[in-house]
Amino acid sequence: MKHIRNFCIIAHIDHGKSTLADRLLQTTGTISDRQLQEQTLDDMDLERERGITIKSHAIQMNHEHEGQSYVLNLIDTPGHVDFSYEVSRSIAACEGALLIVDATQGIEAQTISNLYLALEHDLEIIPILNKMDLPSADPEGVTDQIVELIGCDPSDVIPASGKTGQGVDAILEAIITRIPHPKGDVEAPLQAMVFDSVFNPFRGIIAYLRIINGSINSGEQVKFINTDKKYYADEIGVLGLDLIKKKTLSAGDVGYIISGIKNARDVKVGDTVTLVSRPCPAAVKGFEDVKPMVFAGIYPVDTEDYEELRNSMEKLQLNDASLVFEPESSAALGFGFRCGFLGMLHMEIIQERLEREFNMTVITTVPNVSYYAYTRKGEKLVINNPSDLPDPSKLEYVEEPYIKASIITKGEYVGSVMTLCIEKRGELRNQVYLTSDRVELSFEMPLGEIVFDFYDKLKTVSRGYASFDYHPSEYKESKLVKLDILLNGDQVDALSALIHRDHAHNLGKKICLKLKELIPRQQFMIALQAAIGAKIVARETISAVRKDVTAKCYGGDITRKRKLLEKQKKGKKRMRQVGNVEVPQAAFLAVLKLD
Amino acid sequence: MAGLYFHIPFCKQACTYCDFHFSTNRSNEDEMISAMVKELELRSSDWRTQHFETIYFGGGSPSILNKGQLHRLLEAAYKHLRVDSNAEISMEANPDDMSKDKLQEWRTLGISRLSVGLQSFQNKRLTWMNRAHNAEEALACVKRAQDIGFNNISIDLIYGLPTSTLEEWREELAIAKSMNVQHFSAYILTVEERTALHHQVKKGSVKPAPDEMVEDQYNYLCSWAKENGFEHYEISNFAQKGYRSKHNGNYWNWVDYLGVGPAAHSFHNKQRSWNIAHNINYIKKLSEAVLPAHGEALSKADEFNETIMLGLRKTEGINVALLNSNYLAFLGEDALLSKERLSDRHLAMLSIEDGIWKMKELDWLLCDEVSAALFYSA
Ligand SMILES: Nc1nc2c(ncn2[C@@H]2O[C@H](COP(=O)(O)OP(=O)(O)OP(=O)(O)O)[C@@H](O)[C@H]2O)c(=O)[nH]1
Ligand code: SF4
Ligand SMILES: [Mg+2]
Repeated sequence: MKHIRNFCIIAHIDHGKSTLADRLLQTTGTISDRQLQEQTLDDMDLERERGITIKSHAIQMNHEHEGQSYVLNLIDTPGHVDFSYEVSRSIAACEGALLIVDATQGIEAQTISNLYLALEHDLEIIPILNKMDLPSADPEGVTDQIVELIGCDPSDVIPASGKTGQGVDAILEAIITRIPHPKGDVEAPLQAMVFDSVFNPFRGIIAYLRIINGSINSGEQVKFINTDKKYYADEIGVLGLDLIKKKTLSAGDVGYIISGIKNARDVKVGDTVTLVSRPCPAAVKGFEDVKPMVFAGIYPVDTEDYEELRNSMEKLQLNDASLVFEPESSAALGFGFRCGFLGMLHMEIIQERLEREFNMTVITTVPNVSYYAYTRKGEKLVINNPSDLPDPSKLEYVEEPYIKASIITKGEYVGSVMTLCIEKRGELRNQVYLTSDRVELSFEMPLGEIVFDFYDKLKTVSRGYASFDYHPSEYKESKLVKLDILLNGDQVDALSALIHRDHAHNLGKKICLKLKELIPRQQFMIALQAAIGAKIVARETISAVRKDVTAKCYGGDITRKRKLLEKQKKGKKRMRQVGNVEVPQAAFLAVLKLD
Repeated sequence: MAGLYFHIPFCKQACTYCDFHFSTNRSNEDEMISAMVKELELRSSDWRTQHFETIYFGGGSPSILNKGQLHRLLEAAYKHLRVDSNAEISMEANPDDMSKDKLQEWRTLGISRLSVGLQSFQNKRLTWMNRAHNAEEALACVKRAQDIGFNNISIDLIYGLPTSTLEEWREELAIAKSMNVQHFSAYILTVEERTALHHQVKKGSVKPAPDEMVEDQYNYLCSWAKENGFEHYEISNFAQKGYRSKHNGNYWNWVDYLGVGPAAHSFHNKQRSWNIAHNINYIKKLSEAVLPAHGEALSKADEFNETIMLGLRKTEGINVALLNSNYLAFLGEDALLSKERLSDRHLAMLSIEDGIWKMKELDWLLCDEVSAALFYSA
């Protein structure tokens, strides 16, 4: 155990965690140069395409130091605010953290929030100044910021570069000398914490474990304490680039277990695994359930795929414990699920993963936050779907969730950032100069105003020089009204949204205009209306198609043309029939894409 | 009767909207001609009994070939196939290639019909399309060809351009009129995937013309053609009496055609086949004497649907009585076309007389919608 180090890499988004991980994997010879690519650990297609980490990724390295060999378990974590839950789970499996700070950017919002997560778990922090190869790096200035933030000695900060490999040896040395080895009792009854799980179509569920106490041998019978289910450890091992089978795992180790679990609901991340023959007295403290920030309906494009969608979501949930869902139905879309997401990026990723990994084409409805409705009768209802809002005559008042937002930006952008936040109904609570040029602004704002496109807008008004982090604070009463959209006179529940009364008229107009742009012309005229209660606040019309022809049937390629028309006869992908109107996915998100 | 098509897969530069198969790397032109000659030789045994009445050089840009290259292709055609002595031999020509010398060469090779890719008479449009010619060349080339003796000339025009106006289109047509050509094709600009234009539209830097504008331009085109004695015989094609394109007619009339060259399509014994759209692989395969083609045999449903799709594109329309009786035994009652099954919208777009269904001229732009609605799907 003295020769094990468990650590994670944490930082603000894009500060270079995964790239630095590449260098560590390379230097320790964990992966060959042939296997190495940029951000090797980002192995999901989506991660590679978007160039961001979505899931934490654990991998074991071996390293010699002063004649001793060490096992180093590294966990690379995502930086995007939507995935901070991944970070907190990784932290629970570690004794130390590399806190990466981009030397050209300095401390940003998630640098701070992820640091606090690590400190709460008493992790040893190794601050690293990354991207030192860039000419715009400001080592002195950023070191000052780090020293100020964590109260370390400037000499503790390691200058490094994930591009050139600068500092990698110093980092490996610091991991071994500064991070404490895991403490646990190998002789005690097995106590292992599930910190992640993945679903593999061939092997069933693979749970990732941190062994806290005791040991486990392959083949032994185990119990998952929270679910109270028993299985045999068919296979155990450690996490290389692939799974590496082992006979035994013991206290301090990070590894995996495959135990023939096929049902997604039978593994709970945060659960404790112990031996049936010699159980441990208590479960380790698990994880708090993540609270979703955004809700939206997910519906199959083809109503017949409902059951299959449920299966797919259950499997996806295994890989992503933060996804929550329950069945719901919509007059417009039929049967589907109301899902909770950590943010808009998370929602987008879930939708894409359903499509790619499970071949499910889905429609997501207009996202919303979770409201409280108080009725005249004195009931309090949780409203995760605008359609569930009681009739105004029965409604006393509505509360919406607020957040504490922390925005770090340069002095010159303070004005425009403030304007944006105030426009979004934010109230300034605090303003602190971190350095002469970096300001931290604290706002209290309605969550509903920031989950959608706030981050993009913030980036625009600050030319990219603002970072943003938030935490839920409390619910407050708000003047919200339900804005409905009607297609040819029929209200489409999946397009309804709760909107602040002062913005409702204006938004109704903008939504109608946007829908006019997004809904393709059809064989008949479509009337679009926005309504608050019985009052129509905006209308637009989409005239019938007048042109539907591919002008050139060229070079005798009749086949292609015929196939196109056959497809046209079958109907379009990603379009949902709502009444007799075909509505594309983009239309359901129109509400979010207004300027 | 049959047609022969040569696909010449080279262009000087890529036009913004074009998704035809071509390469701007012209270093292997001669190897390509050899491979095409080889393909013709390999295929010829299947086509021995056919009588070829048309030969068509398309592309790409066949007009960039030199005399020797064209000669080799024609020589192979005459050697391996039965070509009618009065065959219509057409050449797609770009204005920038139509020098006096070249035009004369083409005459000596027996080319009887030119299809000239003018597209527009305005420099700003031609530049935007990334065409290799300018407005001046567009105006001069047709005159030059006529002076040399070409008397069967077609020109291509594109309308429905982004930001275009009816006025602009009128002016284009007025210039076209002054050229005294026998035939013209007018295509609506379509945004095809994998083109520069598609990229621009996606990114938002180009906004396609609104449907209303395209429709206005189309309606004007129809009345202009009528006034000037052109018959609107296919959605995008207009001809003076006796000057329809025979070769293109084959595609629409289910006549067999042999396509030679990368990406070329063939139709033979109710089988469709197409060559790979890749110059280097095409040459490589043929150097191994392998035909680089894929194909499909038409099912009865495919035949039925093609008859509808092709029929509605022509002024002749579909002979529904015949179609129904031919396919009843194979596809059953459900496939049959009848007025009662048409939606009011589609019924209003068709002219129906003596069992012949045709698109009304002013509704022709909705031909795909109507075709899809009439298709049989199992
Ligand atoms: N010049 C330079 N670029 C770097 C360095 N480290 C990372 N980058 C670049 O910075 C970008 C982000 O790097 P990643 O390693 O994906 O960052 P990350 O922190 O893992 O990002 P998330 O996981 O999405 O939070 C990539 O384009 C890298 O190539 C460095 O040391 N020098
Ligand atoms: S339009 Fe003609 S000349 Fe232009 S790229 Fe296409 S094939 Fe070549
Ligand atoms: Mg990363």
